[in-house]
Amino acid sequence: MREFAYLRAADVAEAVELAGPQGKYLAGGTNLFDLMREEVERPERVVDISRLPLSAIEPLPGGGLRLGALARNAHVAADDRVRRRYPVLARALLKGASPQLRNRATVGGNLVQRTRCRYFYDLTAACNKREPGAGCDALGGFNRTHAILGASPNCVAVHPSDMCVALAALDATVNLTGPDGERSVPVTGFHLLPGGTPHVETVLRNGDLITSVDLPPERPWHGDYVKVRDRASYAFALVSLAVLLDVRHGRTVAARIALGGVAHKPWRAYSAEEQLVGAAADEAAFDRAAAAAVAEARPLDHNAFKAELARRLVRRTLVELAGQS
Amino acid sequence: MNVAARGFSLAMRAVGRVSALLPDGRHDPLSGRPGEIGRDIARLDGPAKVSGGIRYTADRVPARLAYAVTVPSSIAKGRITAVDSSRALAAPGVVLVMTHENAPPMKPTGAYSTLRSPVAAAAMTLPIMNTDRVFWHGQPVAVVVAETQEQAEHAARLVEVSYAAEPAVVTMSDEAAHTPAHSVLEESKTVVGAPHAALADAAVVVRGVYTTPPEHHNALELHATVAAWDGDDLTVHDTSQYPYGVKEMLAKKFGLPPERVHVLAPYIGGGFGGKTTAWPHVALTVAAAGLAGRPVKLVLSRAHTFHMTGGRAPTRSRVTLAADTGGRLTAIVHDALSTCTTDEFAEAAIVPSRHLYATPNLAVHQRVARVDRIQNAFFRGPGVTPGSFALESAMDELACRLGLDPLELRLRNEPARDPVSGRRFTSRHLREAYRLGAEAFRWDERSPAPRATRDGHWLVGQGMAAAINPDAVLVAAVRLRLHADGTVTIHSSTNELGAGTSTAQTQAAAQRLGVPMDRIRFLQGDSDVARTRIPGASAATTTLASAIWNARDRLVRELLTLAKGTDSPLAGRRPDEVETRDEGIFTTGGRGETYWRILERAGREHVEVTGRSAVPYQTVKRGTSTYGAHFAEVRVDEDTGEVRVSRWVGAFDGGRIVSPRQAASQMRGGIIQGIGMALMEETLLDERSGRIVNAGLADYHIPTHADVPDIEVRFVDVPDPQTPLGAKGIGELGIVGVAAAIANAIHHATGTRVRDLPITADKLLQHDGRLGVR
Amino acid sequence: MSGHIPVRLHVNGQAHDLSLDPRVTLLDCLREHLGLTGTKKGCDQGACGACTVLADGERINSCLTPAVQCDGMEIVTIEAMANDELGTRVQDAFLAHDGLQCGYCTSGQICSVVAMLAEHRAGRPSAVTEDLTGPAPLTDVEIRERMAGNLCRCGAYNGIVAAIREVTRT
Repeated sequence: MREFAYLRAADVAEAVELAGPQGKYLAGGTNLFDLMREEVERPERVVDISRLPLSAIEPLPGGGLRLGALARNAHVAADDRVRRRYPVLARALLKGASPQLRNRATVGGNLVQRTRCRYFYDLTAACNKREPGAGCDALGGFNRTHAILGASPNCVAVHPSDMCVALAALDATVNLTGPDGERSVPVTGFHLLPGGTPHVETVLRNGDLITSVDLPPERPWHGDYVKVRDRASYAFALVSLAVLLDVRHGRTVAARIALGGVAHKPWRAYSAEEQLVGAAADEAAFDRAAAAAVAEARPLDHNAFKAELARRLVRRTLVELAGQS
Repeated sequence: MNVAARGFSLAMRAVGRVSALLPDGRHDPLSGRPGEIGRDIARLDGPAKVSGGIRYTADRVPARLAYAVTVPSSIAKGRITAVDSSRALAAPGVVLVMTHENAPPMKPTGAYSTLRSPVAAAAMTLPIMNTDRVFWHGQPVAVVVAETQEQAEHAARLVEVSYAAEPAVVTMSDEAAHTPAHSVLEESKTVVGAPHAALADAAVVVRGVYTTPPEHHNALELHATVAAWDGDDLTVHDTSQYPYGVKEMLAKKFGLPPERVHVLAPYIGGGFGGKTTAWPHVALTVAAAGLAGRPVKLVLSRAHTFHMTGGRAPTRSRVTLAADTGGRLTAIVHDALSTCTTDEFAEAAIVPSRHLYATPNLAVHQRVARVDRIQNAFFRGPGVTPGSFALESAMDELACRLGLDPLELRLRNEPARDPVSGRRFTSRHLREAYRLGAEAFRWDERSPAPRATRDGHWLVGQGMAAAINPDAVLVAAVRLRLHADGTVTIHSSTNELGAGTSTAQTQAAAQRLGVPMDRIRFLQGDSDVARTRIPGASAATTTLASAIWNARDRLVRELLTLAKGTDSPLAGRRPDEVETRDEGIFTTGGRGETYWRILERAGREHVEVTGRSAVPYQTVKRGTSTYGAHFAEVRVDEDTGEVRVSRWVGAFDGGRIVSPRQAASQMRGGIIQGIGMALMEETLLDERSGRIVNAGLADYHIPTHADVPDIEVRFVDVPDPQTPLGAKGIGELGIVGVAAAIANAIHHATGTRVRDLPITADKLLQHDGRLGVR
Repeated sequence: MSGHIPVRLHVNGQAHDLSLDPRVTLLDCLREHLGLTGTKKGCDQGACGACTVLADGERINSCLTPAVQCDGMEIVTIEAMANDELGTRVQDAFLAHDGLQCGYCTSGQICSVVAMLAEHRAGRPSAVTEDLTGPAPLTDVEIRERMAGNLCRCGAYNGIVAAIREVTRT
């Protein structure tokens, strides 16, 4: 790890000021500190924001819930309001990482956690995300865990978060503050596809600080978060899935489907949702939706299974949720 | 076959002929007797371990300590053309940068990996850091020493190494393969009868190609060395399974008299073969400490344990089995390929096929292809572990073809003698293991047809496999000291890897000497005690028991000499007239006295003897192996291909079980590593660079709590008539056959046969080019 | 560069005033600076759990936590378990059920068990909790999932689960 200036901020404004354009915010540290040790991240200034008063979980006027950016993953998952009203989020959080990591990792940190692509971590490998223009060793290398949707010739990495997949399905909103003031961004627009600039992963501008995430008022969803991985626990997703379904009188009134482990961002399967809404909630519709979810998949050498896996997961989860309606 | 392999074969045949003339092993009078041996007790080092009180190698923080970090090569083969250490040297806290340009000369030694004498612990002969050559990607090319770990880690990234790369071969191919000199000390090519004619005539033939990937041990303790020079005296704490071998290696490498080199390794945080041989960082730490003129600690990062210590080589087995309609094998043909390096060691998958089943016709042939990778290592059950995946999967396929229960097929082919050598076994209770395991598992309730049981979207299946592992007694000596108060201290150069060695030996010594366990102290891990060659091979229990048995005999002689001409009731008694019990020496008639009384009369503070292990004639003359049977139940998600192991029974013949609780734990540990091997473990090496890309525990998956069901372990627990204590070494046995049992259970659950490990969800989804467990 | 940072750590009830390179992890601080070597380094990347300690009562990976971030926190390590009623019971149960082999992951496992039981008492759910709205009984499946952040390569998992069962029974 390179030497860096360690700074502590007393409040949000001071944090933004201390960070300046090049500084990094340190919250739980579970991802940033690891990347700093690998010297993938090399900040000269690190602003410790872990003591800022941003860890509350509070009701929003109008029925939503605000998650402080520094609320720990474990605390969000254990929060009674989250468990009762947004179980898909609780389940996603609980399927991520390990209990120890969830005790440190924060909502804000989870939003900006970086890919687990092994070539990104390996300083001797070519990686456009780490070093723009260097090339991508994952393309011709081990890409079993890489993207099938929305990738570019420059980058086939996937976003590793479980939480963000659930937030995408919930249509949550990310609240930011920064040198240019405060603003809010829908979570579905927060993460970017790699395109020609895979090193630009979110809409965050230099110095921006995530302050909270807003969950919209709940609907009468039936929802679930499912995750397939290489062992029973404590592993990143091969494919994960957040589904919210509202079926009334045999028809799908509303549906949200977000996939994890398949793209550079949590992947909302809008075309699959369109197949469902207004149609009969039957297996034929679910088949169509499942096929639509992966219709655009462009597999690499080793990950064609992900499209089939995602299709089956979408279908099965819809069938199960419809059964609960 | 090459000259070395032919020479080895001839030598083995000669040994085979001569061995018939050898005596059997000496019958151990303790082997069947009740007492401390076989008693279910907690491990003796447990209290220290659960309180964090054990000091492992990396826990040493000597005064004036400096911290070392290695720099890995970034090419797989070629030459270092330049090293620029200037930026590293200018970084804060850096003490020195050692490269091939300034490292002290380190004399090459033999490589233990080749299993040839002399047997210093060195993993390889390659002159690491005394040459500009690069032999594998990740080879240490520089060592940075700094005041703190953080400074050393950062400065290591500042060392700039330039290379002239050469084309490297990192994958195995038939074209480049040759027959190795030996296959885990057996010949690499054997033909019995006329196997190919038998295949042509057979009623049923099954053929399969089975592959296992490279795997890494991943003991949770990182490899570490702490070296301190005091003049010409060198003291090294090292995470070695083989402290005596490290001492020999360092003495040779640095031109020191062996008595000046002290290697200490009492407690090791798991080894599994990965710490059997000394990887280059050990000598490099010693060299760096010499250059620095102060103690140096080097702890390999987890990534560097992948790059700088070897793992299990990949294997590919072509297995053909032929049988008559009654399910009796008429031929076994097993051709295996693996990788090796300059120092040839074959991950010999053919081994189980030589010993497990009766067959009149057999052909096994091991080959290896040299690759530009780090030296491959011993890993729990070398050869037998990947080989049993092949053989035991093939047996399951044969059972399916015959419409025969897989257990019944094995029972019909249980041999009376070794199928290749014709030698008798010292003991073989595999039938009993099958019976115990099948009963506990309720194997008879299994439906014969695949894909017959489901629970929601889970397909449920059961599979089984046999296990075999050669048993070895190696070389050890112990120093046994009887104190005036009647307590006993036993010093050994072996160490505690977690197997329970110190507990088992205390139990056995207590019974051997007739002394309560709390009067015995077993001290370990000091290379200076005696020449002790137990780097692994499941040999600690029997070898140490043999040495302690010998020490007991010498002690009795010494004490009877002390008693001679005194008023002791033992005066004039011969060793064969007395026994050791009740904290003393007594005749069968009950006359005798306690140890402390003998010493008191003689005015001695203590009596010390050295005991040496006996030559293991029985393992040369007859086949001595351990055996087992695994019964597994798996659940396979029919949509996702996820596999969960839901039930397990393992039943084992390991001779007499000395320390049952620890023995059962060790079998479970092997089974759990086998679950990892079957379902998730694979070291991924990028063929373009030769670099291991998943060098970490987040990417190289090993089983978690959530992957492991309750595992039931049964032991036959019948003493072997020819081994010390009647025991046989079981440390490696547990993993053997596990992967096949799981693959067989998956086939039973789904109807899909996967012959390529690990069996991940994608392989079940994509099997045979089509997508679908369904 | 800013250099060393003053830090006050409360470890096992004792205050330590230190001046630390901000790169020093809590793990290395405990081991190399405070001589508390019971906490182990198995991966240094939050992937094994051997370094688990309690920070303000919660289990964390000390290898991923900068020590300077722990200023003012109460840290509890394996060395303090002998003075803790529950800690001692967990240690005894590990011995009785052979929930250890080499002992290297054991410190982390035991710290993790103590915190896990507290989490469960506090009603926290896990990934295998079927009904998120109520308390979950501590079944074997729950125990295994809640302990999944602590790897054991020797494979002492059965003994650890048995030890936890015993502690929760009594």
